[in-house]
Amino acid sequence: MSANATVSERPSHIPEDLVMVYPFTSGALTLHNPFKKAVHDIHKHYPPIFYAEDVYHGGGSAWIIRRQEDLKEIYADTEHFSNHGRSVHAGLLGESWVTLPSNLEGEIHDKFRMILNPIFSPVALRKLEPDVAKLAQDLVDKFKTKGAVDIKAAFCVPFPVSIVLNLLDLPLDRMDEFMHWEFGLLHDPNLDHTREAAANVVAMFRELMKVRRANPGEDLVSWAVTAEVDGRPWTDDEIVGFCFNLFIGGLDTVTTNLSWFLRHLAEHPDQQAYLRENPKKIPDAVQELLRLYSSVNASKNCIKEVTFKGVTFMPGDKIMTSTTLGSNDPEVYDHPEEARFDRRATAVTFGSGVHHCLGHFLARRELTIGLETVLRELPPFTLDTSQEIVVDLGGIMQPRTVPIVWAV
Amino acid sequence: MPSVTITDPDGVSQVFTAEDGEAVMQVAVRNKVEGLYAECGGSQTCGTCKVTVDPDWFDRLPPPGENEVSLIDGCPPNTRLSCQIRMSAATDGIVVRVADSQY
Ligand code: HEM
Repeated sequence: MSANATVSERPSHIPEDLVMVYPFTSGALTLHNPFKKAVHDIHKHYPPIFYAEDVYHGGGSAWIIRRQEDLKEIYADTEHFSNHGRSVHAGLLGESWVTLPSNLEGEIHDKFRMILNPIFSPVALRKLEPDVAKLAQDLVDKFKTKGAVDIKAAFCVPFPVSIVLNLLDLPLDRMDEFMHWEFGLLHDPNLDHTREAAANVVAMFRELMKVRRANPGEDLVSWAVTAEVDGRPWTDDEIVGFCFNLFIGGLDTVTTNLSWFLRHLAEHPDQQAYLRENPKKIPDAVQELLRLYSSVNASKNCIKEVTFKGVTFMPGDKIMTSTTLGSNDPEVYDHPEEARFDRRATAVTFGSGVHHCLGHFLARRELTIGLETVLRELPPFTLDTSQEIVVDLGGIMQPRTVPIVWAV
Repeated sequence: MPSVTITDPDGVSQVFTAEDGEAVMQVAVRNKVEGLYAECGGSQTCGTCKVTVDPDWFDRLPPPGENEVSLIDGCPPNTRLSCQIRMSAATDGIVVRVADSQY
């Protein structure tokens, strides 16, 4: 199933035999779990590097890199590949701020990263842990006696939103507003709604900067308005770009993984029971489930002609950095389709190279605490198989619902 | 060729030979040492290749740069990113232990 497919003209340097039909395009839907078979079928039947047309909403093609080793080389090659030119939301608003640090390159990117790393380090996050645990608990308390819930809507969506509200020191009663904006930015197919959501989010951050400048607290915006880079304060646009990066990088990603993880446990009662008996193994399970359910498929732009493993990329070509494929490479993992909690393997779930996810320590804590809380508070649960589950493919592979049931 | 002793989080120690100039992280990844993920591949952004260096060796290493400090700040004493420890005659025989948790 695919909606709105449009055909764009194929550049002349693309060899015919490398053009493949790619199932995971923006706007495409499936009723299957793509991580069970479809992802692994690509590894079985497709060349290591291939070209897929119209993979993006409204058209736009990309090279797709299937092998983890190749992906890591591309992540490391900042001479030929760049994150510049990806700030679509600023573009929609006709503004010039840049999503930061995601879409910066070179020395200035590294300077910002160096300043940001300690804010998101395991040591800094330890302070946050009791708050995160309480937010998880409060959410589960609302449905734990019901016997059935769409745990995505009731937990996986609001949980990371509540944490970002906490980081910004905003009241939890803004949750619905934030979730509405998040949907508009990332999931609403109507571009006018996306623009409106972006305008609202940016206006909120600009207002928040004023408030925190006048009356600083312990939150991230208060920190950013006093932080320095290169011996000067950050500009307003830099702060907006940074806050925006948290919004589009730190909400949907966690929601997606938590949704897959809980669906997986609902469908694997043996592994669910194992984690209930061995809660200390939850971090290992998170590591392995992050690998198997790698869902983020971002892209880079080729900025300089290069022949890579026999394939020529030209400036302007888009390269999809599919963590989904890279983290399920059968040349790296024995039976990648199986979740083996004792695998303790590395993966490319959070990317690699200089843009490796700034929020990965936070994400891992949220996922661990999320699973701990659900397994502690709910009795054994299973997937409600009477309901169809629609899965969005493309940039972020995500189930729309995760209906679960348990005995009350 | 210089050698390095790496102990994994389960306490299993192994001695590996390294190429001159290779980072301890690369030696560990090549030999699939458990508990060391090295997700960013040596770009000093992920902080998932942390080791604690044997105290006898720790002071002999060149001090960490600003990037590395931003990722190991607050970690247990003698922590370094293994991607920043280069093997050479000067580090021949170095002893490190993979951090109990990278997170
Ligand atoms: C399971 C959850 C998450 C996943 C799978 C994930 C994945 C990723 C990936 C693949 C990238 C690299 C994108 C690229 O190629 O350009 C990235 C970058 C980034 N992520 Fe995450 N992310 C997650 C959670 C978070 C959270 C919670 C935050 C918020 C603190 C966050 C903030 C960022 C930022 C700021 C960047 C840009 C880093 C840079 O360019 O230096 N992410 N993430």
